[in-house]
Amino acid sequence: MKNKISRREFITKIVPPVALAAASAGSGIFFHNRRLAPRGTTELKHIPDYSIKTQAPALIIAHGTNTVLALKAAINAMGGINKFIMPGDKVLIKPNCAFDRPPHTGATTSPPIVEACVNLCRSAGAVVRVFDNPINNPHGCFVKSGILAATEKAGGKIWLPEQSMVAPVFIGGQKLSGWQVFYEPLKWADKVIGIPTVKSHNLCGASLSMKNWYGFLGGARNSLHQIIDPAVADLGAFIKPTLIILDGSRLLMKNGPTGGSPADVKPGNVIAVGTDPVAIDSFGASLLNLRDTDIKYLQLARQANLGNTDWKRVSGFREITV
Amino acid sequence: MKNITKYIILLIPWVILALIIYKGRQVNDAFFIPPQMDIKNTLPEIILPEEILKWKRHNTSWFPAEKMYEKIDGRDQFFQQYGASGLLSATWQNNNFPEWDMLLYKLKGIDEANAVFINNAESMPVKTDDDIKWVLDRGWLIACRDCFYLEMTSITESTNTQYIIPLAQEIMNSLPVSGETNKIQKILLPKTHKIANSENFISEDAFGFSSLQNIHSAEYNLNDTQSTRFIADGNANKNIFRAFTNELFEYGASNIFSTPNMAGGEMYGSWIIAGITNNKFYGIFNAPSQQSLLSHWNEFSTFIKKQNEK
Repeated sequence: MKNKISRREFITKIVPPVALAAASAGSGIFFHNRRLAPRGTTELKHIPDYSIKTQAPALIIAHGTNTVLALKAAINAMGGINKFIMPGDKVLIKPNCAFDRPPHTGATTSPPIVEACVNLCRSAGAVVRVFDNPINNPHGCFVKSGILAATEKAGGKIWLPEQSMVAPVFIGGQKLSGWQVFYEPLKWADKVIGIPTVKSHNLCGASLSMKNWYGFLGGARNSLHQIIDPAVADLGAFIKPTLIILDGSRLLMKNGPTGGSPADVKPGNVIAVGTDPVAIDSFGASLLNLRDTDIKYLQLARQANLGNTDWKRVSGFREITV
Repeated sequence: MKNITKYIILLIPWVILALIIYKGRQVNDAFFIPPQMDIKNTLPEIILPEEILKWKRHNTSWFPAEKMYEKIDGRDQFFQQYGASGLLSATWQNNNFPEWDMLLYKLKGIDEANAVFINNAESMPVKTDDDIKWVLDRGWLIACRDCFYLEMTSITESTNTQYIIPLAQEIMNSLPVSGETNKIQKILLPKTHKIANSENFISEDAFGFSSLQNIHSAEYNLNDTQSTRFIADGNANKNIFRAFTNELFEYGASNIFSTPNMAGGEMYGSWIIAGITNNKFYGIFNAPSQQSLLSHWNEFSTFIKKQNEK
């Protein structure tokens, strides 16, 4: 009976640890699952339409062994870089830098084309960043592909992917309603330019401009392989770029997307610039000796009115040689 | 003493709180960075020396089959088709030469490794040293030995890359081999009219048919028409033939013709036929016309029957 405590004494002793326990539990709930890592598809963010509102040719094709000159000629035929990029614009360039492969394997965009594009945008007064979320280690990919050196030489900056850039974003596609997307770069940008390379792809036939947008996806994007064609078509509708530059300097004709054998790579000597992703990809498919009907996602994109597979008949089409 | 106990009790929630906050801040690097695994624990049979002929191995990573997409996304399914258990990725550096990237695959068996090699070598001249086959072409080398397939790529494009051959040979020689002999039933794929280096082995879903497994094939040119002749590994039974016939109907083949031991038809603009004779399941795929299909079939089936009589 000696140890018996009064009610007041009991309450005085029990309140502080209970309060502390409640505070720790509350803090735990607050700090746990703070979405440092992407999860869930609620609260989807939206990205803007980056296309320009004035009329521009849908497709210009420029042939030439010097593909940098061909790029400049094609941009001029499009109306000049100042038609697309304004002084002070923040331009996000999306090359294909998916693998840590050297340029001659044809698995990534050619460094001189990235360099020329950065130069053009900077000459128009833009701030330029280059982004991709590669399959392999990001820094290794940018170094080995030569895109890091090319970008920095032209005064642009490489933006390496970080987990904190990812957020659930509204895609609004048939198969992809929302996905973990590298939202921060897309939010930063006023203008987006895609520079895909031309290569065969083991799963979807060809990796061209619409497939290039895969590099904005985070999360378990390999799970999209089961629905790769509708997923690529959905990405074609999701990103409305300012400009697409199809880098046909080299063509990876077989064993894509990684390549390997030099026998699989042949010089393309062509650059296609435009605003119609379906026309550009249909032309790109022809470089790989494929018809647009051979590529399912092109058919899906055409059916979704994203563009015209009959690329020679699109508005403003011109083919030039430099 | 009572006070110490009291303070310890009071401290416990704070420790828990700190742990929760710390744990909540953890970032899963695997989201971006391929797994760097302990090779010795994941694939004991692949242990390459750290240094070979003054070449030093760096950035070594093992990607098991289900994670190969982290290295070769989009092309992983090609290797999985041949039962790849994984790939070992590394970079070899030597002060006197440009750096080379290495991808070393372990396939299901010797036939699968051989098939992957043939697929990639295509029409390039193949050289052989003992049991190693290899091709070298402008900064790209592929080799195959036992169940292993090696691919090496120079970071620079150069025509003079003979210097890499000794390294590749040493890599292949350092791999444990099963001693298994090549099972390819060359004798059942006739030499007459065969196109050189066109042999292939497909472990599953050959030509899109799930009934066609462990198939040996080769390209043939007869009377200026080309087709693929194939034969299943080992002895077959009527069930395989029945499953093939069912798939032929299911896939919507047209102009179908059949007997109790043979069925064929037109699919996707080319012709296919398969049949079973004395427990051998074999056929013709990708013939441009029914006439050429039957010409190839007559020659091949006559050959199979003669082999069976021997």
